[in-house]
Amino acid sequence: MNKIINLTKANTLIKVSLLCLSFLFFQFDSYSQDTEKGKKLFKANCAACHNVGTKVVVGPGLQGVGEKHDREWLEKWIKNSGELIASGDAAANEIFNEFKKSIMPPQAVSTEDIDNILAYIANPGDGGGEIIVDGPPTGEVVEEDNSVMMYLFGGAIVLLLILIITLNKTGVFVKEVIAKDAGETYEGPTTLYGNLKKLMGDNKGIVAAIVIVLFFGGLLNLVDGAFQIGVHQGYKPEQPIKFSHKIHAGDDKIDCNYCHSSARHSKTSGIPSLNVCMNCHKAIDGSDGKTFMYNGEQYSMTEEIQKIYDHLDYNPETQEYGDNPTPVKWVKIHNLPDHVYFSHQQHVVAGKQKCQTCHGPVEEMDVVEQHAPLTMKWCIECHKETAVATEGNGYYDEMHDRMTPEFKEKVLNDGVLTVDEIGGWECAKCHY
Amino acid sequence: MANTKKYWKGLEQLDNDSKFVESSNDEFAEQLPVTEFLGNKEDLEDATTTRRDFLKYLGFGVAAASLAACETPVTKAIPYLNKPEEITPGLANYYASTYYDGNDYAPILVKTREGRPIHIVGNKESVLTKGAINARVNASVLSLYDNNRLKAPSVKGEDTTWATIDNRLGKELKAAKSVRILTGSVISPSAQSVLDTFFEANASTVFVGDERVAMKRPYEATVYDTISYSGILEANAASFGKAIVPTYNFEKAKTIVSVGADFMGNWLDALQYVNDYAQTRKPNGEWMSKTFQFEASMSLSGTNADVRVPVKPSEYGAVISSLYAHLGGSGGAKTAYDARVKEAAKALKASKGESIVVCGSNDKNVQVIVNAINELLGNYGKTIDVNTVSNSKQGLDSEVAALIADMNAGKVDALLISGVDPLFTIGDAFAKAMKKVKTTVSFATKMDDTAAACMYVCPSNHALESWSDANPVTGHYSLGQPTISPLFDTRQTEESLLKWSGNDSSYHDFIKKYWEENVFPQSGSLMFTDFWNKTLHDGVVEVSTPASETTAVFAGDVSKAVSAVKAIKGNGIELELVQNMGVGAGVGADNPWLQEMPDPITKITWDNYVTMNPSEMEEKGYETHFGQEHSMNVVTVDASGGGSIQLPVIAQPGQAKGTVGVAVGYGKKVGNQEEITGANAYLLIDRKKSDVSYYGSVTLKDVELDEPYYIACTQTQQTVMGRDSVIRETTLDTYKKGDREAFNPVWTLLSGETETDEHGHQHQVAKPLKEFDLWGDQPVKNIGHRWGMSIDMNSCTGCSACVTSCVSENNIAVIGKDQVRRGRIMHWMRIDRYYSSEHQPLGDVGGTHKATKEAEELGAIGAYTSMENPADNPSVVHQPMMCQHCNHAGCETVCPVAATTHSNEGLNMMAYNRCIGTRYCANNCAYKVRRFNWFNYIAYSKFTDINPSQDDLGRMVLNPDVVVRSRGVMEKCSLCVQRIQEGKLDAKKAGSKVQDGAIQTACSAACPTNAITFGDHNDKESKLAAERESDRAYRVIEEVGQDGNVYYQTKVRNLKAKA
Repeated sequence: MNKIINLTKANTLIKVSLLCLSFLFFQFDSYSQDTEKGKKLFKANCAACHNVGTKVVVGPGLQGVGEKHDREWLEKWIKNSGELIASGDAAANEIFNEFKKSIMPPQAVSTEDIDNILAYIANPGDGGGEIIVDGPPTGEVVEEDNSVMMYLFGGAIVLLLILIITLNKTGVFVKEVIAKDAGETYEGPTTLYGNLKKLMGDNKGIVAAIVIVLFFGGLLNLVDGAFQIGVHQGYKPEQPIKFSHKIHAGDDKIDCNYCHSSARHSKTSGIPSLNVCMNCHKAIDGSDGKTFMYNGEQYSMTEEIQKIYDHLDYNPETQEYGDNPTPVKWVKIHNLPDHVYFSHQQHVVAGKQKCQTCHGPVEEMDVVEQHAPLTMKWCIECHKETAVATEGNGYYDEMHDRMTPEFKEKVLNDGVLTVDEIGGWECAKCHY
Repeated sequence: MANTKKYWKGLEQLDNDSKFVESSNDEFAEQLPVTEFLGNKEDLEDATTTRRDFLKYLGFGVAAASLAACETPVTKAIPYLNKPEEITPGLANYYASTYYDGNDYAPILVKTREGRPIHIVGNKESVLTKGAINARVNASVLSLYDNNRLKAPSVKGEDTTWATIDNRLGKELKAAKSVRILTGSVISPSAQSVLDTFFEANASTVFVGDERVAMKRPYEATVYDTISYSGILEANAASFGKAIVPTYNFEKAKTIVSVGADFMGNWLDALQYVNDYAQTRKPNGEWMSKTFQFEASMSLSGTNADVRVPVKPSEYGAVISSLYAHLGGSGGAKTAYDARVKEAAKALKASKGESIVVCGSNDKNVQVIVNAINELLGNYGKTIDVNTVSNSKQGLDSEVAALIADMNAGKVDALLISGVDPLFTIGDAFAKAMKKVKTTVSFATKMDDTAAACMYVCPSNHALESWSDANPVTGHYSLGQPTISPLFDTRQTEESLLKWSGNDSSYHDFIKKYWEENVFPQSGSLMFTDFWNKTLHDGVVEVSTPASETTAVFAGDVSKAVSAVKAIKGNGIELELVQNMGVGAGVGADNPWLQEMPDPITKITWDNYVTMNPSEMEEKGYETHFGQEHSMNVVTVDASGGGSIQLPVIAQPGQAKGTVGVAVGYGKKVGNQEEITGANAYLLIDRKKSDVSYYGSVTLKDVELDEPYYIACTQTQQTVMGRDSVIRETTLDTYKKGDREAFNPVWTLLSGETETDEHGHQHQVAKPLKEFDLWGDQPVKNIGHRWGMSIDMNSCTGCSACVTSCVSENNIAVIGKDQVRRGRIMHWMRIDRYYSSEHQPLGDVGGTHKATKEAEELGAIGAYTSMENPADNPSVVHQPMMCQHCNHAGCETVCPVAATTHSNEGLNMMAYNRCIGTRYCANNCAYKVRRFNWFNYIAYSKFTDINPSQDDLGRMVLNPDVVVRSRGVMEKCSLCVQRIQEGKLDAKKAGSKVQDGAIQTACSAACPTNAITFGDHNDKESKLAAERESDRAYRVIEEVGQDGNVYYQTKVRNLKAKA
C-alpha cells in the first residue's frame, strides 16, 4: 500500500511543478497584448476561411501577408474588398481571379483590431498551449496495483490452504502419537474433510448462523444486483473517432445545439452528420500537428481529423469530395428501452431544461459517459421536483384558466407547479 | 324508449343460437385447452417437448437470460454523412402525392419518417375528393414493402440487367411490325405523352412486307379497365355524342336512386362522391337527401340507403325502364317492385334538377335509359356534368375484343402490358391469344398471372417510388412524387418507354417539361418555377378550362333501348359479381392489412365466398351460422357462360332471393402467398359476348370436402350482450319535431324511492344516472384537457378506411385467418354492423305486417309477401367501436397490477410493460374493445408468412413512435396518444392553446366523410364540445355508468315514422 501512496504523491508533485511551469510560460507568453487580442479576433472573424500558415482554406493562407501588402491596402481590402476590386486595383483583382472570383465579405473590424490581427498573423506562436502535457494518469497505476493485489490475495489463499492441510496432518499425527502413547489406536477422522465434518457437527449453532447470514446476504446482493441490470450509469465506450467533448463544448465553448440541432425540433437530439463537422474542420484540419488527451491517452489531431476526411472521401489538398464515403459508426451511449418515448424537444424547449441536467458536465468530459442512471425512478424523481416552465407560455395560461378552484388549491398550495402535478407521472406520457 | 327496434349482428344472434349465447358470455371464445391436453395421456406423450426437455429449456433459459443481462449490448448510432436539409431525425415529413391504381384515384399525403413512407392519408386540398380515401389507398403503403415484389428485370424467367433488356428488346421492338400496348385507363397526361413519344419514335421503323417503310403507324394503345364501364361510355356516346364518363355532384342531390351502383363504395369514382354525399346527410341542415337503392347483393350503398329494395340483376333494366315510365317516359312495364319504384319516382319528381339516378349495369341500353331519366329530370348541367368529364375509366370492351382478335389473327408482333393483369381478369381467352404474340412485355411491380406468361418482365417502381401526374377530371390536375428511392432494381414504366424511344431524359424532367408546356399556360400563374413548386407542395391544382360553348343535347334512342332492355331475361340462380372494400378489383388481394380487414358488410376476413339469402340457404339445408367450429358448405359455382369456381356459401341477409353474389379480385394464381385463399370470380364472366357483363346465371353444386371449411368472420365476436342501448336511430320526421325524448331520451333509472302521484298511485321515482354512480365526479372532468370523440353515424358509411389507418398508425399485428376465426383479431377499432329487423314501412306510412290504406292504393301488396322474414331485407347500421375511454372505466378497477389507469386528460392508459396478461380488464370491458396478444405475432415462426412485420422489409412500415407489443399483453385504442402528445408539444412550443382540429387521430384523419370528430371536451369552443351538446349525441350503453368520452350521434334515416 505504501507504494501506491508514494506514487500518488509523486503524481501530485509532477502536477504541481507542471502548474508552476505553465505559469512561467504564461508569464513569458503574455509579452504582447496585441497578439492575444489578435488571436481571439482572428479565431472569431477570419479562421473560418483563413489559415495563419500558408495553407489555403477558403481564402489564402495569411503567412507573411503583412510583408506582401502595405498596411493601407490591407485595411481597404479587409473592410471592403469588393470596392477595392471594383476600383481596378491590380493586386486585388489578381487575388479575386485566383480565388474563383469570390469576394471576401466586408469585415466589421476597427483599425486597431486589424493591427492586432496582423500582429497575431506575424507571430502566431505555438497555438496557445494546446499541447497538453501531463504525467501518466493515476488510473493506470491503480489498475496495475489491483492486479498485484489479486496476486497477493491468491497467494495468501494458497498459503492458507497449505497451512490448513499441514496443520490437519500435524494434528492427526499428534493425536495418533498421543493415542499410541496411551496404548490406544486413534479412531477419529484422519482426512481434512472428516475433521471439518466433525468440527461442524460439534458446532451446529454457529454453522447454522453462518449459513443463514450467507443466504440472506446473498439474496440481498442478488436483489441489489437485479436492480442494476440494464442500468449502465457510467457507461463510457471508446468511439471510432476520438471526439473530445471537452475540447469542443468546454474549451471552444461551442453550443450543444450547434451540433445536436435536432434536440430543439425533435424527439432525438441527433448525432451530427459529418457535414456539420466540416463546417469547422474544413478550416481546422489539424495540420499543425497538435495532440490532445482522450481517455487518458494522447492522440494526434491530424489523425483524428483525417478520419472525418476518410469517411467523407475528402481530399483536403484539392478540397474535393470523392464518391466513396463511408458512414461513421458511433457507439450509442444513452440507450433508453424501446418502450419509453423520450422527447428532447419536450425537455429542452417546452421544459427549458439544460442539457447538463441529464447528461452531466459534458463540457468537462473528453470521453462522454452516461451520467444519469436513466432508470424510471430517476425520471419520476425529477418529475416530482421540477417546476413546469409555465412562465409566458400561452398554453399553460389556457390550462391555468381551466383549473377549478379546488384543483388550484391542491396543486398550487406549495407555490410550485411540478411536472407530476400536471400528469408527468402518468404511464401514457412516456409509454405508448 | 322510442326505439323499439331489435338489433342483431348476425343470424346467430337473431336466432338466439345456444352456442352463440354461450360463447358470447365468455369474453374469450376459446379457453386454453389445458385440461384436455394434460388429461390425455396420448397427447401428452405425443408432445414433442417432454417434461425433462421442458426443465432443460427452463434451466437454460434462466441461465441464458441472466448471462445476457450482464452483457451490455453495444448499440451503434450511424448519422447521415450529409444530412438532407428537410430531414430531422425523429420528425415526420408529409409529401403530397397521387394514388391511382386504374380504379381508385385519390390525391394523398404520404407521411415519411427518416425517408421511409409509413402512412397515407387523403389530401384535403383536393376539391374532388376532399381528402377521401378508402382502405385500399391507405394500405397501399404496405405493398411498397412487399418482399414478393419483383426485384430485377427478367427475360424468360431469368434475372437479367436493364442493359440487356434495353438491348434485346430494343431490337425486337424495332423489328416488330406491329407493337401494341395494353394499359388501364391512362389519367396521367404525361404518361399519355410518353406513349405518343414511344409510338412516334418507333413509327419510322415499320416494315411493310420485308421493306422498311417510314410511315407512322396508327395509334396502337388499347385501354382495358379491369372493371369495365364500357356501357356508360357507349351510352354517353349514343346520348351526347361523346364516349365519356360524366362527373356527378352528389352534394346537390336531394334524391338519389341507384340501381345496382355502389356509389359509396366501389362504383366509378366513389371517392369523389362519398364526401359530397355525406354532406347531404345532416338532419339538422336545410334538407337531407333521400336514397333509394335497388340491388341484389348488399353493398355499402345499400346498407346506407334510406330505402333498399332487393332486386335481381336481370331486373335492373326493367326497374330503370319502369322508373322512366313513372316519370313520364314511355315503354316501361310494371315490375314486382312497382310500389317502391313509384315511391322513388315521386321523390325524384319532387326534386327535379336536384337528383341523380345511377345504375351499375354495364349494358349500354340500360345506361341510355338512365341518361334519359336524368335528362327528363333536368339533372344535366346541375347535378351531372357531361362537359366536365371523368377520365378515370376509358376502356371500351369492343377495343379489348378487337385486340384479342388481332392477337389471334397473328397481327400483333409485340405486346406491352402495363397496369393490368388480363390473364387473371380475362383468363384463357387472353392466354390463348398471347401465345400468338412473339414479344410480350410486362411492367408489373409484382409477379402476376400475366407477367409470369410474358417473355420480358420489366418491373416498374411502386407508385411511392415514382413520379406521376394525373388529370382525373377536366380542369383538375395532381402531381405524384416519390417518397423513397426505388428499393429494388426496378424502373418506372414511363422511363422504360422513354428509353426505348431514344429519349434519355428522366421521367421527372419529362413531366416537368410537359407541365411547363401544357398545364402551366392554363394556370394563370406568372412563373413556372413558382407554379411547379406550389403544385408539388399542394399536390393538386385546378386550372380554368374554357367553358363549353354548347350544352350537351340528349339525343339517345330511348325506345330502342327500352325494347332491348325488355329482352333481358334472367334464368336460374342469378349471379352478381361485386367488388368488396378490401380487395377491390384485385389490388388488395395480396395485402395482409386489407385481407385482415373485416368486410364492412359480411365481416369476413381472408376469404371470398358466395353470398346467399339465408332463407334459401335453409331450404337447401346449408349452414347459415358462423362460429369458430361451424364448418361452411362449399359449392361449385358453374356459370352458364363457362367458368367454374369453388367457394363456400355464406348467409347474407338482404340478398335478393334467387341471386348470389361473389366478390372478384381473389384467386390470383401467381404472386400471392399461400394464406390468401379464394377463387377467381372473373372467370365467371361470359367472355363469348363482346360486352362484359357482371351479371349472369349460375348453377350451384354441393361439394363434399374431406376437411371442414371454416370462415374467419368477426361479426359475432366481441358482442355487447344484453344491452339494447347500443344503437339509437330515428326517422327524419321524428327528429324534425325536435322532441329529444322521442328519439334520444336522457337516461333515468328508477331509484327505489316511491312517490304518490295525483291519482294516488304509488310509483318509483326516476332519477338521472349520476345519482346512481359509485364514483364521484371524475376529478379532471373540467380541468385541463379531456380528449374524446364524437362519431356521426349518419355520415359513417362503414367503409373501414379508419380500420386500416389505425392498423398502420398503431403497428397492429396481422394474425391470419386461423387466429381471426378464434376471435383473436387485434384491431383496436372495429366497425360493428348491426342489422335491424323492423320492416321498412312502405310509402313511409305506418304498418309493418299489413298493408295500410295508402299502400293499398299504391298497389303494393306484393312487396309485403317477401317481407315476412326479418333477414330478408334488414336495414343496417354501421357503428365504429373502439375504446370509449370511460371516465369510470371497468377495466381500470380490476387490473391487479395497475397496468391500465386513467390519465388526467381523460385517457384510459395502457402500460404494456406492466401488463401481466390476466385479461381481467377485457372481461370487465362493457364494450369489448380490449385485445390480447395470444402470441408473439411479430416473431413467432407460425406467423412468418402472414405477418408482414416479420421481415426486415415489412418492418420498415412500422410507426417508430408506437411500441410493437409482445406476447401476453393487452392492448387497445389509445386515442392515438402519440399524436396527442405531439400536438400538445407543438402548442407548448408555439406558446398557445391546442387549436381545435390540430390533433387528429388516425381514424378521424382517414375518414372520407369526416364522421369522426376528435377533440378536447374541455375546450368550450371546440367542435367536439358542440357535438357533445347536440340533441343527437348519446353514449353507447350509457346506463351502465362508465361515463365514456366517446359520443355517438343518433342515426337519422330520411323516412317517416310508423304511425
